[in-house]
Amino acid sequence: MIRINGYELPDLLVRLLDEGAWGPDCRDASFDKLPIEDKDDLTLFDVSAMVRNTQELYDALARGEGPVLALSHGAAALPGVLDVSRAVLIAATRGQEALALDYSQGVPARVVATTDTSWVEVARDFDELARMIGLAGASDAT
Amino acid sequence: MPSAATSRAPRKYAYRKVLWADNYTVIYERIVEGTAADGRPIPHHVYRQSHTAFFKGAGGIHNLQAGVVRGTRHLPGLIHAFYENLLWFVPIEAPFEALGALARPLLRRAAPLAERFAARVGLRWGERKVAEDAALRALEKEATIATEKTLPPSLASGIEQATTKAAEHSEITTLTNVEAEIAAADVLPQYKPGSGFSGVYDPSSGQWIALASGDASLLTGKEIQTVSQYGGHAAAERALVEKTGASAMNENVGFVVIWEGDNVVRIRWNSRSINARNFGDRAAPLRFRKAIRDVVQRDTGCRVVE
Repeated sequence: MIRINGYELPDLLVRLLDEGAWGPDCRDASFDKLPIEDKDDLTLFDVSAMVRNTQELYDALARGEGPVLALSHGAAALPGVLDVSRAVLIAATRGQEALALDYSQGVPARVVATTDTSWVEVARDFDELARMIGLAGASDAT
Repeated sequence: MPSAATSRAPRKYAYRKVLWADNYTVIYERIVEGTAADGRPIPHHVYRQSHTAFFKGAGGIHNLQAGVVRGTRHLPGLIHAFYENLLWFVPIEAPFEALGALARPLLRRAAPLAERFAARVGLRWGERKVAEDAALRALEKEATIATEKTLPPSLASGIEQATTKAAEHSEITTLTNVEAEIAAADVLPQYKPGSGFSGVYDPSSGQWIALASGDASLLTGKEIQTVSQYGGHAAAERALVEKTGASAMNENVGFVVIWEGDNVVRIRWNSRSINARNFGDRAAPLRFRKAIRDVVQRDTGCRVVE
């Protein structure tokens, strides 16, 4: 069990991490169906990078970047806004495009991605994301 | 030019304004004044100072307490500066482990000094629970800051691990045309192809900086400290402010440099944190791109592609 920001990571994600199928060296995933512009710069995070980049959500909010990055903290759920206290960043580009697990609607967490001005749901849960991006081993879990 | 006697005269330090504060970095303006041997005042000047590596090594800032235009001190030398850090900033749990034995005796000596100094100048050492914007509110008022910014408990151990294992930030992780210790053209070839750098360009001065980001790594395999993907542009902007003293950031442009090897770099133009803030769109405005391409090509000696 791995907990980040108070939330357990989905079982499949933990398994993919263990197998090395999810991480910065992963080259098997296809991001064609994701609304990410710099797809070739999208890095899948290992656990330490998830921790570090999730902390960056708090730091961005503290710098007053909440409106620009569509972030909030503990506020009532707003469409398109990510509550940093209920999120784990699992992948990002250097241009701050990102994928996050969003626990604001409970478990399993849905997966959201950045757009120009907000966050949108791209998968109902991590398993669906894994299938969507064609990660090896993802189909074994379903 | 101040004489030798002048340079030994007491100097007066006053904190004017904290410009930036987060868990790992504090940037503040400091007024320095001096008095010559004949009593003639040395005109004051304001400069900016920051502390980042120190706090990263210590695990981050747990408790920020800064006086603004309230403290004056007359302690000389390097130890003075080090005490000064410890006076104002209390690192989070298990501090100083990364700094090793050198820091521990200094910490022990500094703690009572800090208490005496606080009492003498009337600083408030109170703590209060923090909301993220507490520091910003205090900055706006230019008032004494007494705030505590805690990490979510679940993050603390991971952050501590990540920060303590990292080496201190060094020029090998930096591409810049601002007082570079290592020319950008000499930095890039030391990286594995595919390594990326989070960059910021100031159009008013033509100055830029880009920091090794995420999984960027050296060919030698030697461990380096990179900035995170998501926070890389913010870190690069802080670094540019530290190096140049620029105060206006509303024209800065964010971009990304990818080292492709074979004397080629690729530039990406997205930065939600900088470009969206300054221009309303995550993509760098077209009008700045040629200048950025040119300056990156000139300073890295590489062919630039997109």
